[in-house]
Amino acid sequence: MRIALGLLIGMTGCAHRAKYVDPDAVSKVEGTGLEARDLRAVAGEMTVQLLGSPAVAAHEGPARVAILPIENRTRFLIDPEIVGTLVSDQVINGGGGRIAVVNRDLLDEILAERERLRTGAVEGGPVGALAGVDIFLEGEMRGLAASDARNQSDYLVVRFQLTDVRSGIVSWSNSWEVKKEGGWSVLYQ
Amino acid sequence: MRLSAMLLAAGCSARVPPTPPDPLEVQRERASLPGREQSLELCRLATMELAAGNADRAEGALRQAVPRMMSVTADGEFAALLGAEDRKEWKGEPYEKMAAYHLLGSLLLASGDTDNALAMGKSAVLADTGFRWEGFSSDFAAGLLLQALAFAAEGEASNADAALERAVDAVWQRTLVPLLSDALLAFEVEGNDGETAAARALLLAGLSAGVSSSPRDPAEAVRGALSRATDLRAALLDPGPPPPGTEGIATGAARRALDGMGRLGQRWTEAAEALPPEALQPARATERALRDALGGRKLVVWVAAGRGPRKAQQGRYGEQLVIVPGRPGRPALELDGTPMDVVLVDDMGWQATTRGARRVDAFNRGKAVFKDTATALGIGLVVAGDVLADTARTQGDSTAGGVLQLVGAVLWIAGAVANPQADVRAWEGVPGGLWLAVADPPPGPHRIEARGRAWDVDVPERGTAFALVPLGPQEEP
Repeated sequence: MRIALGLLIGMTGCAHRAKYVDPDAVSKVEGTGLEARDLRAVAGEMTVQLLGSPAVAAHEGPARVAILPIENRTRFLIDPEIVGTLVSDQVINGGGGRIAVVNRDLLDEILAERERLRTGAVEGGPVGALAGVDIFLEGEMRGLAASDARNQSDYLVVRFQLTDVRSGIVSWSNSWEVKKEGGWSVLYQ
Repeated sequence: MRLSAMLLAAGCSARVPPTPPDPLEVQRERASLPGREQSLELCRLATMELAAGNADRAEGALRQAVPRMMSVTADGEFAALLGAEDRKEWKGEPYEKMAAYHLLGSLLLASGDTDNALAMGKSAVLADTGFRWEGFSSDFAAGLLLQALAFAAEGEASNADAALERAVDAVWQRTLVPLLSDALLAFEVEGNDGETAAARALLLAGLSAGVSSSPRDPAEAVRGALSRATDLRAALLDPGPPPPGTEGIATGAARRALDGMGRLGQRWTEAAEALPPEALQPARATERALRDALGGRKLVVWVAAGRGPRKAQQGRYGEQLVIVPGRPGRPALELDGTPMDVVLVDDMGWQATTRGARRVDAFNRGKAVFKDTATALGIGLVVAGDVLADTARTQGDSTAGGVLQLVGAVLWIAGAVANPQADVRAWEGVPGGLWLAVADPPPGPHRIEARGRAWDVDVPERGTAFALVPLGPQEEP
């Protein structure tokens, strides 16, 4: 009896334990919005396309790219920085040096440290000019939603584009799109 | 005496009663537990965190709850099919989703996350729409205004203006639909009662389209309704399934209803042109406030006040979900000691009883509650059925209306029939009303006060400060 009770308590306790799952696995909580595997797929595909784009390939030496904040215009709560971070990681680590990511997020800190270097407050030698940006990478997420009492449909587009800072010309753009439909069971209608 | 002294001594030596647990900590614990009610507990936690002044924590709780409420997957559906409906995972009725999305969006807007604030405005409107396939627009003005404010904060002026105009349309739409619906039901015209009833039902079925096309012009909305009703009649006479909202109207009655539609349409147009100004005054005031909020004002305050809607079971087996509207209240607000004008943007009781697939409340009241989606299945039938039944009862024959009502009711409660008891788990934190106040204080710190409580807000040199004042339903008398 005690053993059975112990087993029961043990099983109950196990039921609420968190577990590791594959980021690409279908989640228990899924809607018709962008899921983890979608964001990973977007980042992967966009990185491949980006690295193979003429705008990057034709550049002499590494193209210096600044990744701008990605806009979310869908109806879903999303941290758009996730995609930007994944793309940044992949072009840095898998880009074979074809792209140099310029970090402007830390500009204030960088300038302050350069000033300390310049005045000799810290050792490290003379400093040259900061790297300029050749290309801006922009991204946005947009969506079109429709629903009735039983069904929900969302068409989502994640778009990236490269703009050459010298000419202002969009030298590359690409979109990743997905359409999802879900049905509310009769219990939720 | 001695006994009393002994008892007193014994009492003195008793243990000190334990300190009651902090309700907020208890709720945090409950909301952390996985289960079919976790979303509900998270929403409740958000209400409590807001009441305690912890906006960041409230935002965190809603960030967890909202994706679950939007998810189309759910736990416990099979159990709920076999047993009580509340064994399914709680996701909230449409009005609860609208309130959650709007609340989270307002918090995000105040904290500067305009992208996601905009997303929540869009989701709130979509949760209200329900029948977007048929082209009916949402009347959740608060959600549309949230979109407009987020667009404006992003510097997208044209999108902000478009969203604002939709919000204004929504205000007029929900004002005109009940007024015109009541107006059509208020007068009699000459002619065969059965044909007139069919004509009236067709006109009511066309009302939503008319108001959607001309939401700010009552007479033009009626003309649009007449045009739509004519189309519906023609479609009804064609072979094939009847158009939504006209099921149950006998083909013969519809064929003979044209003259009645003309007579009713003329009287209806006159009635629309003669709507009393005081009936339109609240909509005008709300429109002014909405435009004010987008007019570069320095401070925009959302006030969530009043007693929210309540859910109840009804029917022989408790199988019907009845939503009882609450009261929007009227908050008294001061900015640095000076009273602020507040305007009601949305009555959540109206939103709760006129939205979602189970509009059982309207059915049980036995009176048409008619709004933009009324031509869709269910409500359109019952409204039309009410009209026919009322007319027929005076003739001693209620068959036609009865059939219409029955069909409508079956559609409405189709889900509930399969489940012995309707799910009445509810988020009590849904306010009765969403109010708006705008002001132009100089940049710097300011204090908003209401009901003895205070909220500090910092108005920037440039741009607009957004604040949320959650007065809570429990504070309404």
